[in-house]
Amino acid sequence: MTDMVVKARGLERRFGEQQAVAGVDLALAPGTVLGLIGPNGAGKTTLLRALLGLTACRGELAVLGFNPRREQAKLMEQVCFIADTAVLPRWMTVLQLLDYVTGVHPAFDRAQAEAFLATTDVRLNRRVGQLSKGMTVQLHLALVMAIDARLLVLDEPTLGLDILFRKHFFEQLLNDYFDEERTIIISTHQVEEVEHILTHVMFMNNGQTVLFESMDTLAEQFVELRVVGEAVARAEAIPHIGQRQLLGGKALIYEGIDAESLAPLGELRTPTLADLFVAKVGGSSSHV
Amino acid sequence: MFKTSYTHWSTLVRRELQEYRGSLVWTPLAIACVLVLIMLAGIFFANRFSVLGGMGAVVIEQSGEAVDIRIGVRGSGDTVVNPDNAADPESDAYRIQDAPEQASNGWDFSRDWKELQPAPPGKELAGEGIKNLNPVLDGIHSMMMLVLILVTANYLLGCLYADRKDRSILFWKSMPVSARDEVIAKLGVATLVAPALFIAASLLAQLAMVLLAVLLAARAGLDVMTVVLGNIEFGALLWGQVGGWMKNALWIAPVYAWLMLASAAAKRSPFLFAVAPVIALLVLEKIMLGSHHVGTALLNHLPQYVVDADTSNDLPFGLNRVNVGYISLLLGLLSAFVLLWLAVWLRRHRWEL
Repeated sequence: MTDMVVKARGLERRFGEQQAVAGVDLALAPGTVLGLIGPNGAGKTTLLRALLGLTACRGELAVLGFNPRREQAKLMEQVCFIADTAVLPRWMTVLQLLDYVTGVHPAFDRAQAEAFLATTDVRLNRRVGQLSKGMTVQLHLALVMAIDARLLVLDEPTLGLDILFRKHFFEQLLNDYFDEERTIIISTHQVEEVEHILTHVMFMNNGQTVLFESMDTLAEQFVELRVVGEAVARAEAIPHIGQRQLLGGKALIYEGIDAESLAPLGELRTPTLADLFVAKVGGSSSHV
Repeated sequence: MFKTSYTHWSTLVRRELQEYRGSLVWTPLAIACVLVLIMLAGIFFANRFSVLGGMGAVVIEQSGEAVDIRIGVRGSGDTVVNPDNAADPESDAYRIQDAPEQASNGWDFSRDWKELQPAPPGKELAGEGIKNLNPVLDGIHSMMMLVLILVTANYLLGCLYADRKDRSILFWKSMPVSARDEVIAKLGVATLVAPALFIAASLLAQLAMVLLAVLLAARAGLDVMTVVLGNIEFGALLWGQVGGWMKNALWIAPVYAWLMLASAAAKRSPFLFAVAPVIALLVLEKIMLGSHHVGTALLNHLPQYVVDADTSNDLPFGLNRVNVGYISLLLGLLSAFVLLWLAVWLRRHRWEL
């Protein structure tokens, strides 16, 4: 367990009356791509900030063996994060920004960042404030990807960007950055766009972990059944965790059930993360 | 190792100078240029060469048929000596009149000044009554230092606040730079780098002024050594201006630290955060105790005589504060340390607006 990138037990964080993070356990091995998914106010950002040492929390927490709160600056030599879109200093030029990161970050490969930027519309003499939102994110990604970090944390990295750009962003992340040694944590609302790059997924609601599984076990554990006609009533009789309307029928999601036993009722498939999320989190607690 | 840490710190300082390039780099240069331009404009348009500063004035004036050189020296509280008193050998003012037949309507550099007569009796060029030109040059310097203090206060109030406001702190915090390093670098910029830039610009302006004076005096056929260069004590000037700043820096350290703390702590306005509690404290003390210890302590640690060439005091650097003493200085430095420590703590733990 010592080679875990993130080790957390019983993480808690309160803001007054509100419990932002309420007892989260987390263990991530190197090479994990974790998708952190939850509704607004679920505690995702607070959890990520706790991992990054940006906010205080109770409980046990070690990131790459560091106590993030006490050794934040040291931790940042091996951890990168994009905490939000458009947080790059607007008064700086791209060149000044590159100079700065080169000067303070021992693991920054400037040539790589410049090569990446050369493929974009971001020019070195431009001020960050003059760049479009998409270009700013590209610039930030260029900086982050040129840092040889062991853990990359992305909190809503593509918020407010168009779909083409989002797809491009995650493709680049997967193709140019990810390898077996690196660990990535992504929190996002755009579930369907990250789904294919994740190895693990975590659903959060009200500060608590609703689900934390590897994508492989997810496929074994959950099954979606699409039924039409009179089979709907029979399917609904079997305990399920969520259902939604389809054209002329219903899709039901079952947890921990023998898929073969459902096969006669209709079409079986693995539920998408979005559907599973709605089933687990979206007001269907009565079924669980 | 040394190279790495040198790069680290120089990067942090360069970043500050880039962000505050306007106020920290261009302002001193602009002021120096404007001062020189004013001197030049005076020569070309008003036929007078003048330098005005807080503490003295030099006027070389050509009016009608006469060329005046008036050097008014004003210590604190004194007024500029009326040029009409120039005949008085004890006067601080000094007047040179050229030959009456030399009528000219403009300042003419090609004019043959060798016809100028030596100064009339009683107004010898050695210039009794003129202590030296240092107070004039110090005038330029004190103007520069006044701007430096305003600019620095503005810098300190913004330096730990602006990035929290525009959320770019989330980027800075993703870099392996500790809050302590950030605060030290910013304090270093305020106490060392910015003053160095302003003092350098000030010295340049003073040099330009001396060169112009030399040029004009030479044109006027005056003995440059006696009239200009001989009247400047370069050693005392540098000692007073550079040493004067160092003395000040030690005294105002707690004020700077307080401004940084306000910058790190404020949710809305760092300025109000810095000023309001002090005023409240002053008023409370006045009402409750009727005393003014806070005010006295404050006065001691506010920037005062920015230029102080007077080294005849008992204390090093010629400390000349109210109720001055090492205790006040030490207490000030101690509070500066505590305030900075608090600023670092806030920067680490309470950075969210």
